[in-house]
Amino acid sequence: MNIKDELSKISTNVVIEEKKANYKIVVDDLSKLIDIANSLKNLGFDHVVSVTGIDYPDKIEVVWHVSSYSVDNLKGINLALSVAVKKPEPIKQSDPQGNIYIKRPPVTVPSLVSVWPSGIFNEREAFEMFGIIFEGHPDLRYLMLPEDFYETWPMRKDFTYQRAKVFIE
Amino acid sequence: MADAEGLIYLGNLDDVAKKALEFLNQSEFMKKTLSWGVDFSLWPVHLMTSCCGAEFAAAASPRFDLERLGFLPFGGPRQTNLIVVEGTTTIKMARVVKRVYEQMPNPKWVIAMGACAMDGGIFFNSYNTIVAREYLPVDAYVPGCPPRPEALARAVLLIQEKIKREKDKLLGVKNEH
Repeated sequence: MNIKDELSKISTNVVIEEKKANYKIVVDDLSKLIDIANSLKNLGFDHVVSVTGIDYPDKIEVVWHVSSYSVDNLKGINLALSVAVKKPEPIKQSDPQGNIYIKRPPVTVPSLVSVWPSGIFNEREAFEMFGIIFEGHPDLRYLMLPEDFYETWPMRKDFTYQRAKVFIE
Repeated sequence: MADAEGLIYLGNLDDVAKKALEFLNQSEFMKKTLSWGVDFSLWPVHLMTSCCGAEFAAAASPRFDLERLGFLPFGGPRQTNLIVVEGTTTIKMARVVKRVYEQMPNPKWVIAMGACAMDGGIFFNSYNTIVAREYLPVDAYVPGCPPRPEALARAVLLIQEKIKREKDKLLGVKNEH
């Protein structure tokens, strides 16, 4: 089985780094994401290694790294399935003391837990760190951060460090 | 004054007992005895927040043996009077440390151990860490990353000196919680 041919059947937008035997599929259309994920699963990619986000000035790229335990010639491969979403405009708000702070709304992508159930915790972590809401995720709560972090996404580039905000009861 | 049977009446016995207790509490002998007893029974609660806890364990183990200074780690906070914040604390863990501190009976002391507990260390600008002085009244700092067990022993000696220096404050400290 030639992996390159099989992958190019699934999607036309396949980026290959031959030297490291790493493959990347860039999905242009959000609605195609679950179909492409399903066909990758049929090919033999059966689990998610990590889910992460990349913060660009105008968009957020969500990357699922998938790999295989069951098919022998896919075992050394980490395939990146990536999709980019446009960031919404930040909203300026002021609290009763008159301080102006900027609220950054989260972005929304479809969840792939229905395809790969092993990504359930990884998607929760990507949600709390980057502000990516995975639509269709069964249990989208914070994984490691306390709940009062809501709507400040610490791994985004525009996160500002505020020590004085913390309150320990 | 005495009655026919030779008994002595001193007035209201409750008042007399209170006055006697006040007299004892303010006497230099009682203060010295109490501070001597307290400073050789600094029992820390065994709460390991981070990697400095390995040095804490080494300090309590036979090679360095801080028990000769009265430093005996305990499992539960109700029997202890010293809390050692060992290394970095996340915000979630800081809430646990604060709750453990509030369970300890007065008088109690706090040691901030390691660079992270002092001023953040390598996590000084992390989004999820907090330094010890922002949620506890710290009595002694132990610099180092991680500090040697001898450094922890030095902090225990510093707190013993502080207890001797402030022996007037040992009595009459009420539990707030």
